[in-house]
Parts: sequence; C-alpha cells; structure tokens
Amino acid sequence: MRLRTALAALLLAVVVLAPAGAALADGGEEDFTATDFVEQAIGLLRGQPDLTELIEDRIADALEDDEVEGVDLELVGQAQEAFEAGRLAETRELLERSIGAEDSPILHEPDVGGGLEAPKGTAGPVLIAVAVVLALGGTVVVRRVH
Amino acid sequence: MSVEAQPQGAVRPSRASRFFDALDERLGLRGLAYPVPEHANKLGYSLGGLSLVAFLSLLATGIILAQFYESEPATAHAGVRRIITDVTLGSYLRGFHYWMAMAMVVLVGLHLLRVFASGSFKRPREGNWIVGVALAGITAVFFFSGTVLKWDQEALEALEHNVEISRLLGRFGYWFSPEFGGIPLLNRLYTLHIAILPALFFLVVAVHLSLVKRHGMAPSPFRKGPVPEPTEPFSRHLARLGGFALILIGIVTVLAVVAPPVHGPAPVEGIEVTKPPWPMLWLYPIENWVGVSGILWATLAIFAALLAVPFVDRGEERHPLRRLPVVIPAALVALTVLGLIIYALVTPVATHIGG
Repeated sequence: MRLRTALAALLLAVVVLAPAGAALADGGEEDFTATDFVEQAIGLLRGQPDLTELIEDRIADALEDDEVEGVDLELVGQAQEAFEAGRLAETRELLERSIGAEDSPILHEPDVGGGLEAPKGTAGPVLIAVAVVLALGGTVVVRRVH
Repeated sequence: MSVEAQPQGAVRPSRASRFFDALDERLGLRGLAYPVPEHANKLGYSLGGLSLVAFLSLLATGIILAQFYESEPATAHAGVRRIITDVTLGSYLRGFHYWMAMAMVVLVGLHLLRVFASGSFKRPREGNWIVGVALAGITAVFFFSGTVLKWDQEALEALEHNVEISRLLGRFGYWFSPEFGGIPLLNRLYTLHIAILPALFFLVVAVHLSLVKRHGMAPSPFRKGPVPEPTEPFSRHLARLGGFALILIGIVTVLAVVAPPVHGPAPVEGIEVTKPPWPMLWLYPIENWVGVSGILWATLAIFAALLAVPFVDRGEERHPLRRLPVVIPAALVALTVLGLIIYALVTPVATHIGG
C-alpha cells in the first residue's frame, strides 16, 4: 500500500510539474542573426558540404534576416549564386568575406590529431620507450605473481 | 617480528625486511594479506581494480590539464589548442587523458559484464551491484562532460543535446539547462567534471570497496565439487593488479603518442555536422528514428535494466549457461548496442537539432 501511495505521488508530480517544462523550453529558443546564419553555412560547408539543403537554407536565412549588422548582403547574394552553380570553394570564400572573417585564424585552422602519427621530437620516442619498459615490467610482475 | 624479540644466534633480517617491518608496524600493511579465493587473481576479476587505476590516472592528468584549461566559452577552444601546441607535453597529457578515459569506459563495461556473467551480484551482493551501476552512471557522465570540455564542433553539438534533453525533462531538467545558474553551461559542466563527479566517485567507490570487503569475493560459478577453493593473500592480488596497471599505462602512453585525439574546428551554434564518440554512438541511430527523446529513453532503459538485474535473476545458480533465460536477453541487448554502434558508423551525418 505504501508503494502504491509513493507511485501515485510520483505520477502526480510528473503530471503536475512536467508541463511547466514546455514553457521553459519555449523561453529558451535560440535567436540567430544574419551573422550567425552565415557562420552556420560556413560551418556546414567545412564539416558536411553534402548537406546542400541545409546550406541553402542558412544562406537564404541570412539574406532574409532583420538583424544584418556586420554582414555584407551583396556578398552573401553572390555566395548564394556560387553555391547554386556548385562552386563550393568560392561560396565559402564569399561567405567568409561577407562577415569579414576571411583572415580569421579560427575559421582556417586545421583539425589536429585524429589519426596515426609518428613520434615527434625527443619527447615522443622517450615516452614510447618508457611505455614499453612499463608494459614489460608489468608483464613480468603478472607472470611472477601468478 | 620486532628486532628486540629476536632470539640469540638468529640471522639478522635484511635491511629491506626491517624497513617493511617498520612500515607494517605503523601502517598495518600485513592486514592486506587477508585470504581471497584463488580465482580472484584472474584478469577478469581485476577489471574493477583496473577501472580504479584508470580513474586515478585520469585524476592525475586531469589535475595537470586543469592548470591550463580555460572554461569560458569564448576562449575554451583556443585554450585547448594552446594545451596541444604550446604547453610542454600538453599534447601527450591530453592524449593520455583521452585514451585512459576510453580505457575506463571499456574496463567498467567489461567489469559489469563479468559480474553479470558470473552471477557475482547475487545475494548478499545485490546492493553492491546497484552501487556499481551508479559508478557506471558516474563514469558515463564523466565521459559526456569531458567530451563537451574540449569545445570543438563535436563538443558543442553534445552540449546542445544536453540542453534539448534537459528541456524534455521539463522542471526535472532545469538544473541541467542553460537557464539555471546564471553562468555559461560550459563553466558548470567544468565544475561538474573536475569537482562534483570526482567527489561523488570517491564517495561511491568507497562504499563499493567496503561492501566488497564486507561480503568477500563471490565464489566462482565454474568451480565443481565439495572441496573448498584454495585461497591466496589479497596482497598478491594487489601485486598482480599493479602488473596489469603498468601494462595498461604503457599501452595508453603509446596510444597518446602515436594516435593523438582529434581536436576539431571552433564550434558554430545551430548546426549538426558530427557524430558522437563511439561509447555514445549506439544512441545515434535511435535519435535518427525517434528524435532527441530517444537518447533519454534508451539511456534510462539501459540503466533501469541494469538496476533490475538482481531483482529478476534471484536464483542461487551462478553458472551463466544454467541462467539462459536471463543471459540470452542480456546478450541480445549487448549485441544490439554493438550492432547500433556499427550501423551508426556507416550512417551519414544527420541533423537532429537546429535543422
């Protein structure tokens, strides 16, 4: 009986309290500017250029947005034409120029890591040597203690 | 034995032996030589200990990384790049932290599987199974928050999922939403990662270990006959665990040098162009089919199933082949998760948020 009462109280709490979340969710919606849309289009071109519909949408959103401060809409329009013609590199360049980010180190820095690399400098080989000694020492301990 | 108690003519103990005696007199080291069953020395029964070794290694490297990490969203990405490129050994430390985190996820998963397969969670150890599931949950949150802290595109997308799920939870998710707290969510996740979770982990692991000591090592399900299993001192188990730990640290160090983890581009809000890291990848197809809520329900379902294990599998039998009605569904769930990870690897990137 106590368990039933507890479950009923929990269910009541869910029913009463959960809808309040919907109001919270509405209040937390993002409000993007034209600059944001251009950055998103650049991000998509950089990460997933195959998502053509999304890229088109973002460029169109940038052109239609009311908050256009800091964006050269003429260049965005040219980027739209370049994208429709399939010239992706030109599209990205025009979009970057439209927000004055063509020299931004953040937009142009390459990813680091993520693949196999040969050990670099002095530290790499030394660390590998230390690791091998540790692993061999561990193997000896495991075998001896058996 | 103390030096004063030696009979005349007896051989004087070596300096090392006397040093150990002195330490033992003060620290009670010989108390660690209590008997445990022989099977405790196998690798499968060292996975929990190795998980703890992984955690302590993460703590050590995390303390160093925290000296250089910037948790403000505006500077966090550049800060991580600085660790990789400018800080002495920073790239290796980050690589070690990343690969050891991966190792910990695998070790905790295998430890859970071993305890389940050998029926070690059965009476009177049901409570400790639940404590162990809580530790697995803490490990998962550690992994998630660590993924966000690197603050590249993948990290931001993980955070955006965090926000969406907190909204799905309504008032229950308010604490995890950006509206709560008045500071950027990245700052709060940083505090979670470096302060709240480690404290919680230590607390729960202390309960876990004290319950292991209280109940002793569970009997092997594969032992036959009435003859009791021989025992070995726990100190020998610890020595062997130390050997395994050295091998683990060696492997992770090599990985940190030859396979440094990726750090992607600076994050852009409102797009989704990456997939989650592999431990969370099984949720990706579910999100494709069901939406963001699928992540919440699938995660809750897995943890609910894990918590239910000792209440469903209550018989005395421990041998996995004689518990097939429980073992087969569990194996199917594990295979499904594995299948979903493989499927997600070949699935194209999809947009779930901000599309």
